[in-house]
Amino acid sequence: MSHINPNFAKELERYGAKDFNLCFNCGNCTAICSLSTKDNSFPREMIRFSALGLEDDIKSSLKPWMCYYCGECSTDCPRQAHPGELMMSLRRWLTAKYDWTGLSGLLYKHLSAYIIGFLLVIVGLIVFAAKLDWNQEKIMHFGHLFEMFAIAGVFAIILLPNIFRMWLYTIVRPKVKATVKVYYKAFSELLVHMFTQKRFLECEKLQETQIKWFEHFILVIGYLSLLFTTVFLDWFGSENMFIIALGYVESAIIFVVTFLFILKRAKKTEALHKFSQPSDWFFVIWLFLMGITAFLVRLFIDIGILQNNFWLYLVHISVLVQWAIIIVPFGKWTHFLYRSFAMCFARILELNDMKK
Amino acid sequence: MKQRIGVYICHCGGNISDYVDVEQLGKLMAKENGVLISKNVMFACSDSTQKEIEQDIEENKLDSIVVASCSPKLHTHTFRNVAIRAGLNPYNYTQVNIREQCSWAHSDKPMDATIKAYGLIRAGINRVSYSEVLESLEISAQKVVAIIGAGVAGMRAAVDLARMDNQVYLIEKGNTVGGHVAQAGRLFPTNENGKEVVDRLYQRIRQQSNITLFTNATLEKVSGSIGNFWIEVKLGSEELKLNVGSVLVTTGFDFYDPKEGEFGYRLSDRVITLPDFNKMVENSKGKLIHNGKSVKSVAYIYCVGNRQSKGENRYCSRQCCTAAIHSSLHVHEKFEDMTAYHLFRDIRTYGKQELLYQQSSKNGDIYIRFEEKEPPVVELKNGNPTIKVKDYLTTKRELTLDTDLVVLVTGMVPRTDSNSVSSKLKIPIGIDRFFNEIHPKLKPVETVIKGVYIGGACQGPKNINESVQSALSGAAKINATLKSGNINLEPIIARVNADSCLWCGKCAEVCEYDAISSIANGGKLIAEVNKATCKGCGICAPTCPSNAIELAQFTDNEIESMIDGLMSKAEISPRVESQQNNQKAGVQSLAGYPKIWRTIANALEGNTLTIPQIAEKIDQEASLVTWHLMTMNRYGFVESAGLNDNEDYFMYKLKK
Amino acid sequence: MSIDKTKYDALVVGGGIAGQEAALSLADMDYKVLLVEKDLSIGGKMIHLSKVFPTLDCAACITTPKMSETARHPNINLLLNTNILEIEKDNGIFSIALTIRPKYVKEDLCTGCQLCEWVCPVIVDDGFNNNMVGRKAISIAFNLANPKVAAIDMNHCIKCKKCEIACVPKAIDYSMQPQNISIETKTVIISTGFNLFKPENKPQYGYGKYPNVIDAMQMDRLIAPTRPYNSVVRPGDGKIPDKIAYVLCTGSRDTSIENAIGCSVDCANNPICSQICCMYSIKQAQLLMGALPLADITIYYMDIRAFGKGYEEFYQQAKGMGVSFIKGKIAKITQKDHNSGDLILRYEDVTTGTLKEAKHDLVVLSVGVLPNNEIAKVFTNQKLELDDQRFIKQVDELLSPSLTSIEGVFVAGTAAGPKDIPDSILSAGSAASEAASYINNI
Repeated sequence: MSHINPNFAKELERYGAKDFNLCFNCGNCTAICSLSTKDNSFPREMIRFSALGLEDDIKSSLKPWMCYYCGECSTDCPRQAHPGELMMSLRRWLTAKYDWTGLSGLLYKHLSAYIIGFLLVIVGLIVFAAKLDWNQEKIMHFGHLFEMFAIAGVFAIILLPNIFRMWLYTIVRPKVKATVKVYYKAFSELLVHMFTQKRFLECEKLQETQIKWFEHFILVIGYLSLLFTTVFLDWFGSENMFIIALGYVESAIIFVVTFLFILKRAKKTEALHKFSQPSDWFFVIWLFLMGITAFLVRLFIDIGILQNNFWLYLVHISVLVQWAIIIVPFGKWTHFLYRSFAMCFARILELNDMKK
Repeated sequence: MKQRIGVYICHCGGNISDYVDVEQLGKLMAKENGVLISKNVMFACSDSTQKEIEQDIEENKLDSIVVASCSPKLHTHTFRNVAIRAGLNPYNYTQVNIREQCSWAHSDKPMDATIKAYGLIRAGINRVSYSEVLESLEISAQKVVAIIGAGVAGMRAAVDLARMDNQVYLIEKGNTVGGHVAQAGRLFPTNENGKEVVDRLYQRIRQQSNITLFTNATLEKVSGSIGNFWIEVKLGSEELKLNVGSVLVTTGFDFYDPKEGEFGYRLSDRVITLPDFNKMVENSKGKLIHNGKSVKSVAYIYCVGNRQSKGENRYCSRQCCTAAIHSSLHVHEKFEDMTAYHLFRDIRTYGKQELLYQQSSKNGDIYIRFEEKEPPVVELKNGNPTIKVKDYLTTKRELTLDTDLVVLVTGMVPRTDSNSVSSKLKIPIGIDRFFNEIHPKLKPVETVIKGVYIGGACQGPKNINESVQSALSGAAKINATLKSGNINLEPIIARVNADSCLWCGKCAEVCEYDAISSIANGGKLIAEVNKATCKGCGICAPTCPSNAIELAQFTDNEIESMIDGLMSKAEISPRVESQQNNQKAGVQSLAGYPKIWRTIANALEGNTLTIPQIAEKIDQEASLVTWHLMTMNRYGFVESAGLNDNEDYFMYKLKK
Repeated sequence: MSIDKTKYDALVVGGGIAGQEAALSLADMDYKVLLVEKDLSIGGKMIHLSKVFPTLDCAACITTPKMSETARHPNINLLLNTNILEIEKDNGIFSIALTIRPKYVKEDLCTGCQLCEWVCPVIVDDGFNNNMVGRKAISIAFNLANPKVAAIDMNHCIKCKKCEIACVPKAIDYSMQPQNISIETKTVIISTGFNLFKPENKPQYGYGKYPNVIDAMQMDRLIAPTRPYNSVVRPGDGKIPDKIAYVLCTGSRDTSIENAIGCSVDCANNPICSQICCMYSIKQAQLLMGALPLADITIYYMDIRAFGKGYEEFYQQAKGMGVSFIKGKIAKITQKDHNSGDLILRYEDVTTGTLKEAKHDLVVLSVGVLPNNEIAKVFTNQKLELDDQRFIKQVDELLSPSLTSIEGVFVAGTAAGPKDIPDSILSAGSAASEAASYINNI
């Protein structure tokens, strides 16, 4: 027995859902979706849960993460109910639900919260830099330290507890009893999907999908390896030619690919780019800014003009801090983690079902 | 006795000939007494066959014709007109029904169907051989129309009939006009207000001096017949007798009245019907208030009293889905923050009405689908409704919802007094208990009683626009009938033999149409038949002790000869599959034809093959081969050679 | 009876069932009517049909008598193969310019004997049978055509003169030219009917690509008494189908069409319901149960809209006969195996909420109704307005359903929006009533 909550639709609209109530339940979206299967049919089920406001069902579902938003369901929807966009909105909503701090929800629902957060970061940085007497070396040293601690801190304090909550909602509360062996077996899914997003390749329209997948793939690899290069190989401080070149390539990949993404979002030709939310914009723009400022910082170091253009590093570090303590823990960045874990959890459920 | 009879036996494009051996019957009938011509035709009713029959009548001086095809209900007039055009009296023609009565009824026993058809056609031939020349009766008609029921359908028809120069009596039993529409509030699809629409129409009626409106008027008695009906109307204490040429019945419908406890109806004031809800919406301003309580959510339950697979109302009322959705749109527009739940079975917003459904979804209305076998349950706690329903859009999950108001979307039912109207006017009633037309496509507003027409929702559920169209359609037919002031009537009526009639009055007693009275004749009283009122039902004939009254076209001679024809022994031989009647082909040379025809013909030389086999043999797409082979078949180059062993393909061979 | 062939009370545009009904109704009221039809025969879409719901009367049995009555009525003059070039209104009178396209056969001489057709060696698509079979370049439009006269398809004729030699009454005339005439009338009734949705415009369904995906009009031809194949077989390879699918709402209730093919004029989105497809599909299913007793028939639907008199009962009857009804829109159709020609239909079974694939050997697309509004262009000094769906606009839909934006011009049948046959007939009767009232009060 489930109770209908008619107000849920309004709540979901604040996460970007558009006109999904136009759905007349023909099931076209589920049938056209090449990722939808006999045992895992979506997105109509999710639209239905959303229309009826069955929050618990949505919270315990992994299906929103199964969707890679190729947009075919939206293109073919006879009522133009934008099922793809609903799935996207549900991912935002789930992200907010997983987040124990509640900040995700706040940021998704209020653009002003984002802006205030960004401004606070800038003010904090200026105060901090002033305290260090605008000393370039010290600031860069703290910048590097920050990177390390931010990663560790955000992970430990925000992301891990959130993933734990996701596990709680989707595995524990629905009373799925899986053995350690099952967890062990499913764990490989996590890594494979985290680094390859191979499921994306199963989307229809092969060529288009391959290009999209490749862009996404090199962006993820570029991003992760740049993270590694800057944090652990100290790119900005390194003298090793190989490391320096590697950093250039990685940062270039980031800003070139994200620049293409920004263009596509602005053009709105594809279904998945029709309704960009602030969180989507911030994600691509900040990634782009990070890539390009990091590239330029290193370039300025190499041609020896950074000292006279120290503002550039300040811009870079403020983008970085904003990214690291706002977008990564509470923004769109998390989809990278949740989606991979969703694949892993889905595998657990599947293995469990097979056992039965 | 006729000696030059033409017999035409129809294939009805396979409807008959698939079961009845039409060709053999054609040959057998040629041997019957008096038959000069006996033919098989593909469609007797088609224009070319009609022309062919006319030509036969003229060239061979036929003195009567028999057409063996479908029910006389369909085509009696078609072939009477053929006779008239060829200069033959239309009553020297007999229709024999070998489709409804033979091929359709006995499709499992083709041989017996053929034997039965044989008997029926012989009966028809015998009958036509006794047929007389009859002249149609011309009577003068009043250019006056009575319209029963002043809802929008009746009012609108009154306007046009008056504009076409007919005197109109508009008879309404209530004290106001406009029926349900006057109280309906906002109407779909134009969003006009019901009262304003009725006012607008009423003004148009007022402008027509030749419309007389009677309100509080009850229909008491109807007598007479087309051209001259007598309508007795009671107006309070006064009684009126109106002489009219034709009657249009537009008595409308009632809304289904839910039973006590049906979805909680009458158990709580929070459960109301859609018409009541609409009035409430109309009267509320700013906030939707029901019995002092503010209403924020409304649950509409559809198909109440309709589509009952086991109940008495099996039909769909066609306008209720749209009406409920339209109300919901209105509510959404008029009041803030309203929640709407629609518990439906199928949403039937046909045509452009689909746009309303789309808008309602866009507004955020929640649609829940149930099936008849698991209807929603309305539970009342302190009078506040909670609905439990199995949602067929969410894997039959059981859902509960709290709502301030439950609106029962009630369907249409016939008027409670429709039986009395029907018995006064002798209009037949259908299975759905609405008035029955003769045929939904051929005669959709006509009833079996000549001169009595039906329009609007008394014939079956309709929305306003459809009701008006049907009533105006009736108006057009009435105007065509009355326009000249004269009406031609069927001469198939009772007639009295003055010599043998002794006026015992038995015939008058049984006549349901009061068509027989007594008259002095040659010093004695005899029965006299009112030609306009007599319907030709024939009930009088068997009651007459002295055999003095008979029905034209159904005389004893005719009936007895028909029985003889039916009883005669049929000598039918088992059916031989006849050759396709493409004998004209003859042209076996494929010179000049597409090349693939010659390739196919070569492949079939000495073979019988299926299409895929031909395709493989000549290395062509099977679809291309199908197209060409079927065209070759059509023009007589190839023919079917039965099914293959798997019985999934036909085999084909060259036609020699 | 002789009538002045240039002056009429009413011009009826379109000789389908609505046009015939409107013309007959007016003619019965003694008005002089000119009925103009662009095709070679009157009869419209209905004459193509097998049987009609819910009575299962054979369509020809109902239409052909009406066609002959129309053709014979002393008050009706008929122009076939004729286009309207211009309609101009002056002082309440409509001046109409028409052009009669040549048939290259003299109508008054042709007896409809078809001798020409038998000798003609040129094969063209038979439009009457929706191109499922061929016919000769000279032929009569169809068996029950009225008038039953031959015409030459000049686009394909090779002028071999075989027909000219075969024709006994010497009716063939290759040199015939279009004939322009003008007439005057007091009213115009538009009964131009509708266009069927072109299923090619829904590429997901593979029509035109897979030969065993056909549209419902083709199926109606396959089961009609005057059918092209003599039995119900697949156009792909002549197999007798035993698992037939109906895809309802093909091109109706669908606003994704433009997304799929990126065009906007003749293949625009169609948000509305076509009103007839549920019922004609149920009708065909019932007829197929009779013709192919062993076949399984499945109807994939979104909502079954059986709303007219006797329709719900007809739907329940089909269920009782064993027709399967599955709620779920077909998302796409693929042919995995070219040899078998069988098709895979992908859909969500909405009631169980699961994605499914079903194999069928014949798929019928239940195509919807689109407006046919070409006529609006010929009005020169008045504007005939269209509604949002581009049907002829009804300006007083509730009380005067036939009124259009031009006084004296009335609309009947599906020119104003989707309708089934009974509703079209009623609408035509009502247009006749309004037109007659109008003429009577000029």
